[in-house]
Amino acid sequence: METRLDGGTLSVTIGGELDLYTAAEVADRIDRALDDKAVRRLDLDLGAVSFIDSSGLGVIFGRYKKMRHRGGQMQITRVSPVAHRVLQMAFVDRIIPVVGTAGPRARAGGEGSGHGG
Amino acid sequence: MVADPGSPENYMRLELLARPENVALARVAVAAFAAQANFTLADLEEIKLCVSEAVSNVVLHAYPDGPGPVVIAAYFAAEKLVIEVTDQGIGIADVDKAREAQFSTLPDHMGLGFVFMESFMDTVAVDSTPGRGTKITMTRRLPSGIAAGTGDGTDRSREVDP
Repeated sequence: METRLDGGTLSVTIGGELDLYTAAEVADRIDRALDDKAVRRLDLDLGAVSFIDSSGLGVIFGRYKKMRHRGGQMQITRVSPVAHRVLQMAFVDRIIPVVGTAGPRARAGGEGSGHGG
Repeated sequence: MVADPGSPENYMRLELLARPENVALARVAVAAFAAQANFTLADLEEIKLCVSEAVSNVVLHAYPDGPGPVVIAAYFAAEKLVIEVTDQGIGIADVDKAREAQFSTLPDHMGLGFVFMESFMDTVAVDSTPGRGTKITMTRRLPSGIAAGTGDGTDRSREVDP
């Protein structure tokens, strides 16, 4: 897992398995980075996630709620096919914008998330 | 603890301490077992997900006073893969409530465990006695045409993405 802060954007890259065991540490590390109140946007790269279940989704959705609560934004910049399927099953992709799928690293672009609330 | 599966064509049984770090072991073991049938890799991913949900539920809910045992059993019988996840924990007071989408007693959990299990399995049964434990039984039809665990030595792919 990598985190990088660039201006007000926190970019987090998660690889491997995102389950009950790994979810706690991922949540903890993102939350510590979010202690920096300058962070207005969270970009999540799930392109190298090989497994995700509801515990993993819970971490992602929990961070989304945090970002909304502070008036920020969150998007998923890359997602592996296996993770994308699970996100779709849970309709998480209808709530959190997915702006790229696995493949070349997408540069998080457009604003048009429609979730500026 | 685990019901007599009759005369399964093949079975596995794994007992673990219900701790978060053991969830991956449980799902990978069942997926490797299921790979004896002609499931696709996508099927095996779904089976892994369901085992992960069932075992995670045990870790999260069954033993509030410290981890106890969880038994993961799987067998092939009557053209089905049957998976049983059994604990001796506190049980589920209201099974119907627990199965509802979006219901979770824990923050940051989306209450999707049963939704996934019911989406990807053909049947999901919950047998729970408060104070005694819970058994989840999930079944999934085998891919048509090819019997599982027949040991016929055909060169099928056993590739499992761990």
